[in-house]
Amino acid sequence: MRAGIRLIIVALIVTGFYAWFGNSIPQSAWEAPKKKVLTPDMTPRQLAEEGKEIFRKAGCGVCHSVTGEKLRGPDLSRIGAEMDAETMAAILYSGTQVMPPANKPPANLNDEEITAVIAYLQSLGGRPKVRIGDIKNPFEEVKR
Amino acid sequence: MKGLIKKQLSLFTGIIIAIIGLYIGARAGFDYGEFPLIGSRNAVWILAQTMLLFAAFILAVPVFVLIIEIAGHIRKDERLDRLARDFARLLPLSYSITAILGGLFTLASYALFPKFMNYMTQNFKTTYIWFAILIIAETTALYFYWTTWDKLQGARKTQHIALGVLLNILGTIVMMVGNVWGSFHLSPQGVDAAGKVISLKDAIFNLTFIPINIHRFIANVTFGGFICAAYAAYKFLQAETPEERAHYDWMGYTGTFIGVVTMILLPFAGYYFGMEIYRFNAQMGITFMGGALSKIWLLQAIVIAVIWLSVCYYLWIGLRRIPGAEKYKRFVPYLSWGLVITFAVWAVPRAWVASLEDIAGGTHWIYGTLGIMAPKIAAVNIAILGVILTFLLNRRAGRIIPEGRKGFIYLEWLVILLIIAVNLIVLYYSYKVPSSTRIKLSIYTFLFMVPAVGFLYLFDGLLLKGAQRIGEIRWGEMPPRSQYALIIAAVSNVWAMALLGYGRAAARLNWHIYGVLEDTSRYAGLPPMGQATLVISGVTILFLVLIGLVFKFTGVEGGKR
Repeated sequence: MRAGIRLIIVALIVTGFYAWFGNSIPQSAWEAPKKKVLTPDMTPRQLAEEGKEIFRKAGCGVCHSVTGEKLRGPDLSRIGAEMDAETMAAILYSGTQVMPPANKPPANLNDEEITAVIAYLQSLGGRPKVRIGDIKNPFEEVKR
Repeated sequence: MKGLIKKQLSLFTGIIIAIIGLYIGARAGFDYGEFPLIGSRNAVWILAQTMLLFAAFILAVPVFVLIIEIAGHIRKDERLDRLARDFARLLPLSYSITAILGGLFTLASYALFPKFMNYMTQNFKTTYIWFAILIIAETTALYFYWTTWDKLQGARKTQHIALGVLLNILGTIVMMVGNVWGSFHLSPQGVDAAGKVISLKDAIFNLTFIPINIHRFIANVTFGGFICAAYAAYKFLQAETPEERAHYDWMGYTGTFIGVVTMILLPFAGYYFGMEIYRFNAQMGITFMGGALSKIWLLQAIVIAVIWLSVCYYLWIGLRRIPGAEKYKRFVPYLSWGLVITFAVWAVPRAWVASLEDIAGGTHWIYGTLGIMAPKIAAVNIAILGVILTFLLNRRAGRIIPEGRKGFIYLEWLVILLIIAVNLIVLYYSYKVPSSTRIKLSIYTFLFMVPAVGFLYLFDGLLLKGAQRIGEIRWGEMPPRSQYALIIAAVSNVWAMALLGYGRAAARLNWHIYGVLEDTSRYAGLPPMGQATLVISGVTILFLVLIGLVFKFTGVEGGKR
């Protein structure tokens, strides 16, 4: 068999192996998050339910546990009893050295969604109180 | 002059196709176009990645062609000059293919993603103009570099080397201009709240610009080395005389040497790139390393393992052509097991899931323990040590070490044990500190590894100073399977480049320009990993077919000479 044909066979086997392996591991696509419709007539408890879903979808749970387990970031299982809504909003909008602001990518949440997340956080060790319209971005949008 | 214009026809064809694309994009009147059968995203992806692979090749080969040419000139070694010329032979046709692919990629991007691409035109017009001027200058430099090779010999060799320096400078600047756009997509800076670029300087010197340049430059040279080694392997398998076999064996070894030596630097460049990504947006870093894209690292580990094991296998077989190398073969099983174990650690993913939210609440303890960065860094560093030792064995094999220099062997063992101990101690400490400190530890490990490896080479150089060879290396006395190992390494390298090209683009998730311009097309998001690997394999095969044509036609041209 000519060298060229043998080389083609080797190349096909190697690429075929990688493609096979890539297809044999767990598969699922990543889809862009869909925006929630959150209205002012929703109760704090309803907002907290939506906020729980947003918290999960936005990937907050990668660093923050809500069960007392130690992960990268602070545990939030008692955050509702320990922090007020204004402080939560300040942290969520400004971010920290290692946490990007919640209104910037990849979470990219709008004011209503952040309010829902705060309602959820208030429910952890406390009682949700905030409603849509209560929370505004405390920082002006300045040059990036 | 006629020859220059004729040789640049493909470049001008590419530029004209690109300008047609700009025109179509400006008048599109819609945000996203459709491409039949494979879809817009796949069409642009395939063209972009294939073009980038060729671009990597044509930027890399002149770097080591020049180095080999200079070495040949200083040592007055005609063999080295011939080797450099053999590598350079692959360039002209590769440039032509890159130009056409670049034109088609631009056309497809503007026709299918006009909103995104028009944003780029509006904000980066100046860089577009500079890019066009630079590639014309670069191809002109290549034309004169290649066509004057025979004329500028002897006393005029320095003029030819100066042309090579010019070609490399222009090539590097072209790469950097391209990286302005790619890095801006990833970590945009210098834009106002509406997304308009208000400081071109800030937009250019964004956080990932320098690390991408460094990483890409090194990766390109690695890639070029492996592709040239594959070319040599192809020629070796076709060779009919022992002289031809000896030449292509030596060429393959040189290409492999370039590939591996530069590849050893890549993880360190990668850490720097990763650090800047975390600095720009920690969550992007987490997405990249531990979230939706974590399986890329599993695949990458397997591909890199195949590359390093293939190369080491080639080198271990290569010991047989060195008289007096038998006693070093006893180290091979330890090295091979060391590499297998370290790659197994590297291949453990952070999570066996596809999205960030799925890992909320923690992961399996094996993933949690071995899936994080710290054990991977330790594993990679120890694997690097294994590959370096394989090279050192090849260098030392067949030499009689002078009696008074044997003390350096103990110093080398000391450095080897120190590398292993430091990596294990840092690894242990990494589990006890927060992740922000853990990331910094990777820099300290890097700062330790570079001089440690330097000392290893230094002591080995001192050890071998004045060492006599038992016999000459019998170049060409290699079995065909050794050449297939080089082909496997090259194919895997192409696949790895395409995989990591995808990874870098995928880190933006559903953004054309992260946080500035959202992807609202029906392709927003990421395909399943399996689907991505099919496209990556398709790109790899397309590239191999095209580079195979370069090999074939270059071979015909070489034969005529």
